[in-house]
Amino acid sequence: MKLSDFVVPEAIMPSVKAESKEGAVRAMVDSLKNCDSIQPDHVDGIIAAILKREELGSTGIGHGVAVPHTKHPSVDRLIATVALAKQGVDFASLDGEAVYVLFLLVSPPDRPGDHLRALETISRHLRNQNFCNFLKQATTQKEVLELLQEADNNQLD
Amino acid sequence: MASRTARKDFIIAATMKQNSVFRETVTVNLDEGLHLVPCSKIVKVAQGFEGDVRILKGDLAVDAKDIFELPTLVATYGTTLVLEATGEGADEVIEQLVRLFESNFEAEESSDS
Repeated sequence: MKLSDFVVPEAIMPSVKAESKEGAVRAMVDSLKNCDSIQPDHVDGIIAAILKREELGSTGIGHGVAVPHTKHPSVDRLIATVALAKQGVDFASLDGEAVYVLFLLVSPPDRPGDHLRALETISRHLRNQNFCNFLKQATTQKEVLELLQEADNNQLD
Repeated sequence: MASRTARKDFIIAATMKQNSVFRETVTVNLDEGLHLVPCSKIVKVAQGFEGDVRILKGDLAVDAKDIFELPTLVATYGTTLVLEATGEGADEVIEQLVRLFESNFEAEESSDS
């Protein structure tokens, strides 16, 4: 699976200004709504589901990265967006550090395999220091998108 | 002479203990597979152990202390994994990890992964 298979390009946020986990999640879900990947009626439900999921264990997995996610019946395929928080967001991460890179995923309830493959794709690329460092430095949607494409094509190794 | 032999035996025993490898086979029983929350729980247990802890799926082996490596197993429901630890206390860390799998990660979120 490639990042481009599930990241919605128009929803990428090169600079999200959020002071809390909830604020960051809301901004990212709104961004998916604004490019018609999520129906407006389902925005609040998806945000609530993601935050409920966070209560079970933070998806701030360390090294400045978080992967908030949920399943939701309103989507018929796996969708995601990427946000960069230059100031850092308190995500109650496992290592206690602020989060600077966020991948938010929404997947159909009946496709757990897709969700795991997306996590594999994200994790695999985040292990690449070049990808992480370049991503944190990106300032425009185009730059982020190009980085995702380069990662997909293994051009950052 | 006797004390030197005893010391040698002690060193050999200690070295064997440090190099001991423990393995157990487990099955993923989570409907959602081994996603981020169970991966985090594995990392937490593994990081409490000084030696190496690896999880193998076929030919693929990952460091159980690295949250960015575990999801690369793509361990869906029913996947068989081998837990492997090396070093002093390897048996204990394997026992703790097996317990996690057997308790289905303490019956963590059954539907909201």
